[in-house]
Amino acid sequence: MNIEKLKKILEDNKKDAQYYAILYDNSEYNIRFSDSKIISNRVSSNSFVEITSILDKKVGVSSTTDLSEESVIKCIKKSYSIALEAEENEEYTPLIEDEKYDDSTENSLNFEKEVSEIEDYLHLIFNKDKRIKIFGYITGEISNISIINSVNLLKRTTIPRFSYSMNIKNDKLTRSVWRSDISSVSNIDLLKNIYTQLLKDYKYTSIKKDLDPGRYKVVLSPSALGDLLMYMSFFLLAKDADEKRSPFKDLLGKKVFPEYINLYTDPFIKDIKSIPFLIFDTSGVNPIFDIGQSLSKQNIIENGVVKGLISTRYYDQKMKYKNNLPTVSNLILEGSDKEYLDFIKDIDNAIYINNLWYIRSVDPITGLLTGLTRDGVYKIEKGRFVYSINNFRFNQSPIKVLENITSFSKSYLSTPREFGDSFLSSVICPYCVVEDFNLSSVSEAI
Amino acid sequence: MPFDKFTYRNYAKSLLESSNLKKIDFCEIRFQEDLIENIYFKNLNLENIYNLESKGFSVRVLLNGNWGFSSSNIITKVSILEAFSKAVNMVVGLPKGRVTLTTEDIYKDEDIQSVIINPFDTPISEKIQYIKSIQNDLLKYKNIDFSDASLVQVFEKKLYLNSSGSDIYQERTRIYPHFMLYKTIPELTTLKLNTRPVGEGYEYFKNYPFQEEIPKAAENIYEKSKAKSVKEGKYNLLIDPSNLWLTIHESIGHSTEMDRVLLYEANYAGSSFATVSGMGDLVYGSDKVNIVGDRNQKNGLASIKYDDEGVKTTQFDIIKNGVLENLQTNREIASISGMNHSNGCSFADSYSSFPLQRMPNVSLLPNESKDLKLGDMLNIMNDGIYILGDGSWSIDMQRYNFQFTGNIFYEVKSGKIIGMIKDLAYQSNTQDFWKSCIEIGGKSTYSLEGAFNCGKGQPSQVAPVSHGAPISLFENIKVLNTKNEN
Repeated sequence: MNIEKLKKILEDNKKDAQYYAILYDNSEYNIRFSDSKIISNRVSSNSFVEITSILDKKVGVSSTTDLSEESVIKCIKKSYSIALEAEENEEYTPLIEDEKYDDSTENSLNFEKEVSEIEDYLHLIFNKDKRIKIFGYITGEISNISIINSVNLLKRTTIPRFSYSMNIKNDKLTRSVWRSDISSVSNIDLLKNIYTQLLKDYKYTSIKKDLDPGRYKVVLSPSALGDLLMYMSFFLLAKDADEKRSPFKDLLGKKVFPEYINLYTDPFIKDIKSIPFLIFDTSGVNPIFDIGQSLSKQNIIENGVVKGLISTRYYDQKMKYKNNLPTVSNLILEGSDKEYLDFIKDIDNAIYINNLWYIRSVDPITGLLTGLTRDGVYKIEKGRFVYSINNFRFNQSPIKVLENITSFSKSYLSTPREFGDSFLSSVICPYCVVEDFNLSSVSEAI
Repeated sequence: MPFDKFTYRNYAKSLLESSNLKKIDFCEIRFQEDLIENIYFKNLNLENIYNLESKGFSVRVLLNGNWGFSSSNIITKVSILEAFSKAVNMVVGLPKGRVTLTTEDIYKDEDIQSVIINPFDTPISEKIQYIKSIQNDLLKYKNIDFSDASLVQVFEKKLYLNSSGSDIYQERTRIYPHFMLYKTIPELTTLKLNTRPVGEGYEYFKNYPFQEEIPKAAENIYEKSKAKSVKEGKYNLLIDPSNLWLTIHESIGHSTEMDRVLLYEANYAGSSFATVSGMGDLVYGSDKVNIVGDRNQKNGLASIKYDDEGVKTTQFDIIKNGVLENLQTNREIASISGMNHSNGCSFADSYSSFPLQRMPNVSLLPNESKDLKLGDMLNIMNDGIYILGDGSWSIDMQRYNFQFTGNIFYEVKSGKIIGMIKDLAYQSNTQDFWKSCIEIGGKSTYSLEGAFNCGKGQPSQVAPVSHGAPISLFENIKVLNTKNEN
């Protein structure tokens, strides 16, 4: 099935409905390793088509992984029959007309070569030092996404994504360090660099001291900060804020954060490719009439002022909002021009947090989140990592975190530990000093 | 195209009976179709109806101790052979891996879950009108400003064949109606209705006692909005199964997964404080605590006759009189640990997913000696907090430190409920918490709760799972005021 054939089938079977359709095609490989052994090798090819029929403001959506013509026709009929039975959606907005976009490529995964190269390297490092145990996950995937609608919209893109993560522990399981990297091209050097860096990190864990819970000055890594900001994006819905159902209620247009806080999303950032048009939103807004909408660089926080929240075209028109965004395709927090190591050198006394984990919302009024530190909590004294510290449970709102950032480094592309598995969740964030971070209790976990 | 199990079986057999199998040590093929229908309302606006049909197959091969896996949404004799070749090519030439499998019985069987009303046989318009009528009933109350409603329905078909000769077809149905209520003045207050996800048909939703619950919910959200904020400290907690299920899930369910114990999830979901050598020895909780794993439990979300490795499922003790008895296994994990058999805990969430060791229904058994009811348990507690409904949850990567909130909290003095409190989270360590369990309610307080979306694995998978519990009493647990935490 290709988009041209899908268009023809739709035109022949749409009856009196407006429609849009998404054709998604993905190839991927995954390698998991644990305790210095590969535990699974997976390759997968998957496609689906999603058809939305719109009849007099009534909507039905149906999707199928069976791309035979017969099945696609059945899917069109199913979406049509759902629309027939549905009620009018009060947020109906006319579909986006006459837009074209195409940056798709013919690239395909060379999975046998890439997998073989990765596995050879893994077996090499597995056998280097038997005192350490190596864990991790590597995935390569290429996704082709096409959208058409009944009013002459056609958009296509190709999203390649290669991610590498590795965790090293000692044989007694009392020390643990983790790093990851991500790229739009397959690059085993990223994996090799992770391993080299992890061996350095591992040295910081040779001395471990216990620290009591409390409110501390911390340094959050880009991954840790990225996870908090990803979670914060779930609170960014304009309608929820207006309905007083979000910690961002009454904050749009107000200066809430220090003026050096600039947070934005940009699908065209050069570091990693993102989807340049709306296919769905992960934060909970219902963009059903906005599918295919072009995405661009848009500010969420500008010079400390909340500039834009996530919204639909319907809601923006109704409320006369100008600066909202359809979704968050990635999150970029502007940093300084200071390299990471120079930044650390200037820190006199703080706790460094490498990763956050198991993050959940506790209080939707304040945006309070809870979670754990993981795989790298270090004491920084006089610009140096001096020893590692026990893990903690934190209770902290990401809004407070942004309010309490006092300095930061340059921004780096990073994968959040908790949200890093999705190709929608790239972040570019600095290392940052956060005052008064609530490490609520000690976790014995390693 | 319909799920044609006869044709698919022939395709699979043509591979499994071919000379290709001589290249490898073991092979299994799983065909899977998931029909999913989601309906979403915000107040009275029908936001979306989404119908999803996911169908395809996977081939998993074992060669020289290494797993190779390939899947596709195109089901033909040729695509199955291609997937087999890809799976083999992933592992051919690798050094010897560590995978061995337990020897299990061979089954040729069909098991179709019996439901009264298949959700997919009920007209969508009827479901819409029914949800809308409930939303109307909720929004009549001035204390309820907003109600978000959803209805998720799943019909799952699986055909499993392996090179040992097993040939199993199974069908399962599950449903989850969910209603979240909001009161926004003077500040945001949320309350969930007590509907839960179940391994049942549409009859669960249709017969649910909304007319009894809605007026109470309207009173409760008002009372919750006016409730006083909890004072931090240590309290006795009487925990309803509607809250305790999630604590069981996180602190017992996941920590007794043997693949976590053996560090399979160390890079992602995490490991466990439990150990293989701790079976029969590790004191997990007080002697009141008896926990079973059971994939045969009626209406359980993880209930099924055979798991995704063709192993017949069973009920087994996980914790007996407070001591760790067993861990959850699949064939690989059981074999690595020197066990003779898997206890049937393999699950894959779609045709394209690598089967993992996943949780059975993990439940706390009720008090067998006396049928203690809510009033009895309140009297035993005397002073403390009574918690109902789930809320926020979080636990560390080895399942020690956890923090949970809830839906409703009552202050209890001298065995009587005196009023609601709010802004509460309880925080503890798994073994400390279960050792502090001083009384377990009787059978009449037992309830089966659960979730559709337990996450694990890379790439990430979700699994449905139920947890039963009676009302239970814990002493001296740390309670936080969440407003003070920010």
